[in-house]
Amino acid sequence: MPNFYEFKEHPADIQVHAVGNTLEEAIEQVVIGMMDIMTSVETVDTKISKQIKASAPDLEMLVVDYLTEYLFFFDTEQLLFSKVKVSPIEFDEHTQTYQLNSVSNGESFDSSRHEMKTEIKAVTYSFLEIQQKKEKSEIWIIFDL
Amino acid sequence: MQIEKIDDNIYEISKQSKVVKVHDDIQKFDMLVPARVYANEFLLRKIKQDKTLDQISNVACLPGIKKYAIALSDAHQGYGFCIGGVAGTDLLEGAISPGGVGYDINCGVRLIRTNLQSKNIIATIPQLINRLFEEVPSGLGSQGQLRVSHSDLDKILNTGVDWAIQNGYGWEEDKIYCEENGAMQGADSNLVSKKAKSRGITQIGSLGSGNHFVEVQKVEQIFEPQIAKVFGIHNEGQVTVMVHTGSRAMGHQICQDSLTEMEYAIKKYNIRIPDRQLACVMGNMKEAEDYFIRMGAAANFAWSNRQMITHWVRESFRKVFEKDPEDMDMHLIYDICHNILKKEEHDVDGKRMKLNVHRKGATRAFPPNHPDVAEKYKSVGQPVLIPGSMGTASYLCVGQPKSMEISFGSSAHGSGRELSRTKAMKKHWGSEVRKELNKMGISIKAASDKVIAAEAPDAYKDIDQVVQVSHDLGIVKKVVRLVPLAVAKG
Repeated sequence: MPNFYEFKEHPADIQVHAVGNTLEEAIEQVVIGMMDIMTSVETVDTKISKQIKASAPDLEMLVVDYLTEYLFFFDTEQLLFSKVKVSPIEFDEHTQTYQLNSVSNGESFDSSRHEMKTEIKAVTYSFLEIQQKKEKSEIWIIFDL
Repeated sequence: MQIEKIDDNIYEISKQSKVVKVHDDIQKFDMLVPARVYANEFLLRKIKQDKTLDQISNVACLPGIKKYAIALSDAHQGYGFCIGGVAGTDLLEGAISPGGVGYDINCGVRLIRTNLQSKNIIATIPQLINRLFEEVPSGLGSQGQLRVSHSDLDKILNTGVDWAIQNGYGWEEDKIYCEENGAMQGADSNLVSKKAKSRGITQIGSLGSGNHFVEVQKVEQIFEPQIAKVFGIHNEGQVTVMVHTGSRAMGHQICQDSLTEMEYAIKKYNIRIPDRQLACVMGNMKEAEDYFIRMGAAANFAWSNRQMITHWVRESFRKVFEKDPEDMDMHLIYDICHNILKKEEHDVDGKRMKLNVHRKGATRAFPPNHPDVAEKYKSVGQPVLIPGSMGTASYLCVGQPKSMEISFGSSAHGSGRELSRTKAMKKHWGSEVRKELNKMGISIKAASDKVIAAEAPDAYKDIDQVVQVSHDLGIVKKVVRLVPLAVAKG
């Protein structure tokens, strides 16, 4: 089945539901959904490439930390992304942490070309759900706006 | 959950056990205190529509919580804590939870008065709002017009509003009209991560987006003329300016860093909590102390931020009206925080105790003669600023004695969302909302039409009812009702 993301109702903020064939693909979808909260993601070019990574002792924290990296790149370098490739997540026995590596493509925010939607304050743990099944992974995650 | 009416505007969920799914486990948690909702029947019906009651009863399970977990009349679902929530916990044995403050640490409101009359400035409003929109950057990725150095940033984090005033962004007296005199004592920039500093450094003096705004208002009704006079408000039609913003990405990252630290801490100390977003440690633990110091730094950033915006508001008025802000009587009436943790003394079961008071979307509302109320306002009580949504009224109230009895000295903080952003955006076009507001005589200047749609007036609860509940409970007394003339927002 094709990967996708959708926005779900939430009283104050916004919930992204992302679906992928694998957990990695579901995470890629969350990133695109996140960018779509900030701007019209289809207008974002892919001319800049960045390696974005995270490590954490469990998957929830890994996903929250990884997505927060995108807020960091936006606030410090005004970078938006429209293409993400997450490498297979590995568990490091030595540090007892999950390791996530990705290559993301995007460009600098330009208010003349990129629609200004809403700023994301944070990636929350609230009602965060990660479901990994054999042929389908799903993530439900709420962003504080 | 069963909720019972125990008095006018007071509802209670009694102490009980809760069964909660934590990861893949089903776990049992005990509410240590009842949960209370301060609302009228109409607002309670709205509050019941989302997960507010579930969240506030989770808060009632936090270690060391005293009296009751409180949801105020503007309450709605948040993350972990509900918005419009208050929790007081034992100073040392009780929980300190970054989720009880939220990501936008020291998000708050300030009110500036003028001696201008609305009828005399109507023609100038479009020019004024354009100027304000230009001087106070807002919207996605907004950055302040000033670049501060790293050493200045440290001073901002350590001294709050003092830095801004010393550097020419305000009047000496502004400080005494801020909660805590505009600086949390003990804040230390050394404990703030490099990540938080680099996210926040360019954002000082900017509004951000969402529900943050600079609003030009007029006094529409004065309920208490004697008290209003103390605040320099003398007649209907008088023009005021309200600013609503917080600590920007600095606070967001400090909260995120702290939540990560709490995640490790709850494992280390084996602390059980019903919702991961409520991760906490006890007040006497090192992690709690570190959080309080960091949160103070973020709060100081927010105060400096609102102070610099105030400066640019005054400068905008100077340019547009070609008068000195002093001659326009542009004094700060007050600045309040509505996302904050304070160590305060309260009466619990007849005993005076020091508590960790978490206010998540709640405004401090100390009564007359409370030692922490600014000297000039001692006889009337602390000003309580309760903004409405875009296009609706806002209130200037004063804290009343009952707040110390029933809400840890706190009041509702705003109108509180009723419609989700996605629903509001489906329902409205930004351009139509703009037209509607214009018809009502309100100019709006926004970075994004999407934000205008998401913030449409009917997305929020009725501010008049929200404030009336606080007033009827004796938490606050209504002093002045303000209505918007023009709004600049992200």
